[in-house]
Amino acid sequence: MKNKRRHTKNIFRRRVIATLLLCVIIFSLIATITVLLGYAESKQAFQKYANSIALQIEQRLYEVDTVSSSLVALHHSATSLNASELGQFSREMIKNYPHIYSIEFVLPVSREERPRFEEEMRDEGYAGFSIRELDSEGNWRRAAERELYLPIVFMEPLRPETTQNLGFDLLSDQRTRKAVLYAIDSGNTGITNPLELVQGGAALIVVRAAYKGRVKPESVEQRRRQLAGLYELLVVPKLLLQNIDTGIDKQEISRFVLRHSRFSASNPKGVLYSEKTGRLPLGAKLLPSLSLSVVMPSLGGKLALDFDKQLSMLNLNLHLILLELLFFAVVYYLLLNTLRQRLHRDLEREKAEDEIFREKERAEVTLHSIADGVITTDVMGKVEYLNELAERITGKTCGEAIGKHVSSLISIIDEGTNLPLACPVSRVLASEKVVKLTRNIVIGRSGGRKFAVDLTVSPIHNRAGKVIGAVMVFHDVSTERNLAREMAYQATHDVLTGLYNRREFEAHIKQSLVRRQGGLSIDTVCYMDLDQFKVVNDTSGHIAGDELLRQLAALLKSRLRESDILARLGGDEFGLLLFDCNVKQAITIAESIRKLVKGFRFYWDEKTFEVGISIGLVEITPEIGSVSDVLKAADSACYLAKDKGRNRVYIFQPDDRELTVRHGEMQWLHRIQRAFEENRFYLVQQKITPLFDPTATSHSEILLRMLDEDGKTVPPMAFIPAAERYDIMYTLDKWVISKSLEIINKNKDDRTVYNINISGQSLCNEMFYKFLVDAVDKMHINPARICFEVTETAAIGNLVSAMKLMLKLKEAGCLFALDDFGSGLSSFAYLRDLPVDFLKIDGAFVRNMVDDTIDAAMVEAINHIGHIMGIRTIAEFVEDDAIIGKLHNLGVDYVQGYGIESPQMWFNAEQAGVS
Amino acid sequence: MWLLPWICNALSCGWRKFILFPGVVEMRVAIVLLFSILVFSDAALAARCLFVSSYHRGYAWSDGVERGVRKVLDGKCELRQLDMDTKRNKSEEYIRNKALEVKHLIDSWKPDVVIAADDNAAKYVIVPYYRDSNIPFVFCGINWSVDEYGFPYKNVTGMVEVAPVRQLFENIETIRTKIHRIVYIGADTLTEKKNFARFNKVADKYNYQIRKELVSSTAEWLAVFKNAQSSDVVVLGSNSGIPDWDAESVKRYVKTHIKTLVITNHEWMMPYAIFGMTKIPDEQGEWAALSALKILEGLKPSAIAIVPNRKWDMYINKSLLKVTTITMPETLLLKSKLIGNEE
Repeated sequence: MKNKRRHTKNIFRRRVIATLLLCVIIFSLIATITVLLGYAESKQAFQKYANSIALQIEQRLYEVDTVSSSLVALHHSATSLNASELGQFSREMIKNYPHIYSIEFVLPVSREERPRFEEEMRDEGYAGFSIRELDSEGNWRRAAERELYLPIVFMEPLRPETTQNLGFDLLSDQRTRKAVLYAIDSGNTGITNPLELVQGGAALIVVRAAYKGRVKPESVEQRRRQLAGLYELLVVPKLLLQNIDTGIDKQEISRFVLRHSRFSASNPKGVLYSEKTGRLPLGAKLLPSLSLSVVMPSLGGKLALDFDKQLSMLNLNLHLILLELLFFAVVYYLLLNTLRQRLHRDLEREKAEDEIFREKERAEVTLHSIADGVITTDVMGKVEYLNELAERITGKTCGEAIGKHVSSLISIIDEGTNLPLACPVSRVLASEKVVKLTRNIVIGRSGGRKFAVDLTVSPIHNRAGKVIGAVMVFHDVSTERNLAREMAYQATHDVLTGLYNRREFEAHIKQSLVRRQGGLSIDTVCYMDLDQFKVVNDTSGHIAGDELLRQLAALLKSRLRESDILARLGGDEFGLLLFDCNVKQAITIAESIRKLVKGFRFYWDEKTFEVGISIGLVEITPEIGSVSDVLKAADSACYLAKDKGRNRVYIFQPDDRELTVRHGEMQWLHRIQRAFEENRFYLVQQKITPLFDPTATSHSEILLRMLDEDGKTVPPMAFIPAAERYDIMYTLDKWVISKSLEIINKNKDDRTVYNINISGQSLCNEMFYKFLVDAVDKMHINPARICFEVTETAAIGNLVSAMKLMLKLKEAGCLFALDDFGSGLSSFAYLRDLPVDFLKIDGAFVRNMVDDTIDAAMVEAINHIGHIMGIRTIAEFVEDDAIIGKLHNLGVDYVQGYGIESPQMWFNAEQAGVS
Repeated sequence: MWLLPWICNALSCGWRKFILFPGVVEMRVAIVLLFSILVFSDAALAARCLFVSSYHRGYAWSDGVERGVRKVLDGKCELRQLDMDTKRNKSEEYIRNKALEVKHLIDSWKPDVVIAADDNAAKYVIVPYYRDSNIPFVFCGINWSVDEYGFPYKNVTGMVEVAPVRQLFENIETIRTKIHRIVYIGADTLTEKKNFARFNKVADKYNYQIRKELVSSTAEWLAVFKNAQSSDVVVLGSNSGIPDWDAESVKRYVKTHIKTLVITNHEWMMPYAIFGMTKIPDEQGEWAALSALKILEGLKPSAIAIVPNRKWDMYINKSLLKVTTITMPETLLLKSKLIGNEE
């Protein structure tokens, strides 16, 4: 690329040089023509100028000659011409002809006349006047003796610097002598060579003789003899050039030479005046000069003017050349600019090509690198390109695939139907619209591996918008789909057992309801709850419990039809939806399940567990409105099965009274919650009296009571079961304990031990544990005044939690009583592990012990075992003296019941004003 | 002196700061200094010219000379004038004191050139104090000859004042054919004596008998004038030096008693003469000034020859001509300025 760019720049340089050369050549040609034209024009103008100057100089010289003639004529015509008059005339002449520097009069003086003449001049005021001459060094001296002197006696204007010339003998100087003698002898105008008589410049002396008499003497002899004087005019050649109007700047004349043939004898070139005029501008000498010579007759000879004109830039049209240069510079600049733009375009194009190449490379590399398969086709659907992933999927390399129709490379299959789909490329090329296939699409070569993909096919347009091909992009979504399947499975199945979960079970019930409402089938739901499962869990741990559940699930599933829906609803509860199965058939199945479970033995850590199962049956009828109703009914039936002794099947009947009660319990939930909100709970206490030791501390059990909406007291057995079933016992326990401790704290002098009940639910509630420990900690009384009562069933059912709480509170000093002992199925072995202080013998045994010997034996056995284990006993339901007497005989420590004291009001929220 | 604060300011603010870091004040100082240098250099270059007049302002001749001097020198040099006033103060002592005053001025002021107008300035200043000195002198208005002063000196040049006596005589011969006796009337002054001498010299060439009558008062002048009417020509010299000159009464007297041809060389005497060829005092002043300028330009005084004046004017007093029987030739009437026409 760099070489290409260098090549382009070299071409540009060559073009620039060629353009420059072309401009230079054309400019040179035009410049040469311009210079030649300027030269010719200047020469012509200068010729005209030179002629004009020559004519004017000749005219001025002629004027000088005329003035000299006029002076002579005046001399001849005037009767008396004194200095004043001559001065007046001269001033007028000089005024009119300013190139005449001065007019002088020369008087011929003979040697004899000289003394008198000089005396007279001095007498006239010319102090120190004498006829003088210049010595060889240019100093004035008295003129040497000679026959004739021609001294200057008058000059106009008289200037201080020229007064020295007064008395100058023209015959004494070779330079003037010849002209003077010529003028005398010829009677014509004599002209001297330029003399330095004028301060600041040379002057020509034009001299003309005046003779005595009015007619010019004929012969030379006579002229010399009759000489009256000479009029001489000083002409400064420089002044000849002054004020000459030629229309051309005189500054342009670099050399001016005035020649006259009359001077050629003394001066080979006859140069009258020569000067270099015109101040040459800087660099003008570099330009050629123009020389001209004009010759014309003047003053009896030939006047020649030589000019050297230093041609200026203007003369040679150099200003035009500059303009031309500027023009060509502009043209060159424009051409250069064009070339630059072209170079710029070329470079830009190359850059763009580079960019395109790079982009293509980048695109190809990118396409090779991305996780999507990409296949591009032409407008016919034939492959033009496929990336690495596409190569892997199609099993073809790019080289092999190019030119083949895309449909021959891959097949697209609907995963759901496993049927092949038409290749969407043709459809995209025809419709010019993007096609996306994202559901259940798999692609692959025939006989090869299939890939779950999301497929997008897009048309490729050119700049004009015309379709030139298509690009197929397929994204491998195998992982996502597997994950989605897994998630769907997990959403519908129980992780532990692999059975359906509650949601999926409900969904199936819903479908069944729909079918049933459509009269299509009769389905039955079984609600199954394991018996004694908690025992396994508590004794062997959750892992054992989980394993039990897994094994039972597998066992149950193996005995059911494929179409039946078996689900784990939570904990040890299972649901079974039997399709196309009425109640009769369902009972059979349920019984077989019950027997199966009963006969199942679970082995764990060398222990063998026997569990049972309580089953509630509900036939889905059109009368049952919702899934919730079905489950409630089944649950209620299961409850009753369990309530009736477990390990049995109970069939739901809509008019079943027991079920109505069970249903009523559910109503209690709302009533309890409202009673709480309306402070309709209160506490009563029932005394527990020692039978033998009057000094022993008496106890008092705190009992919870609730007022109904009409203000009537509701017995505990009416709302406690509902509270237990619906998990709000924790709330009730917490309230009872808080209020009890609050009251007990206020009566520090009271020595009564208060027994407070704790439900089984609260026992295994971690939050309750924290609450209770915290509440005991904050007590300001002897902890031994508090005795918590836990039922035997609750303690055994939540053995771990119960142990933990008991140990903690025992440690704090509190007492514990095991309530309703004997009613449960616990063995006495548990009693050994539980740190209880009191055993409260179940009232069911006490109530009938007078008449029933078994009950009496049970009371006796329990009392006996308790005493052996160091636990004091309390008999409940002591309603009369006969029972007291019997208990006294048995040695029971404490008695409680209506026979001792009926419950007394202990705390009333409304009365206390407590909310 | 007015520059002193600025210069002090410039010095006090430090030259380095003044030159390298000029502020507004420094710039002002620099401008003023530059301006001052220009002014001083101009003043230094401006030459000093001293014009010493022997007489006083108001005297027609002296005024003419001064006019000529000022016409040329105004603006060319610093011109200072000192009038010795020796026409009205003729005592030797006064003149010598005045000459000393001039000398003191020259010595103190040190002019580059001195123009000395008329005889007393030459006689009492140049000759005794400045012969061949370094101070150049240009004299003018010295009557007829500089011989008595020994000019030229190397530092002295000038213009001699000559009257056109010969030309005057040439012209009166065209008016009167037979001239034998001429009376010259003038003030009894040195100048008039010299003038008379010149007339006498020229008259000799023409074989005229010329008699001088130099007076000191108007009455004497009138008496002499009346007596001179019997001569062929009366030449009026200058009245300068007659203290009680009463122009009007003299004019009336002349008009009453004039009979013969009365001529003069002085313009201011034309009211009392019929024909006059008069010198022009301005020419004297102009020449002296031109010479002074050339000297200032570098020309040595010795390089300028002493020359006489060459201009004069011609007058005819028609009012007096009318009261006589004299006939004026046509050529003179055409060439001369006519005065007295108003009468």
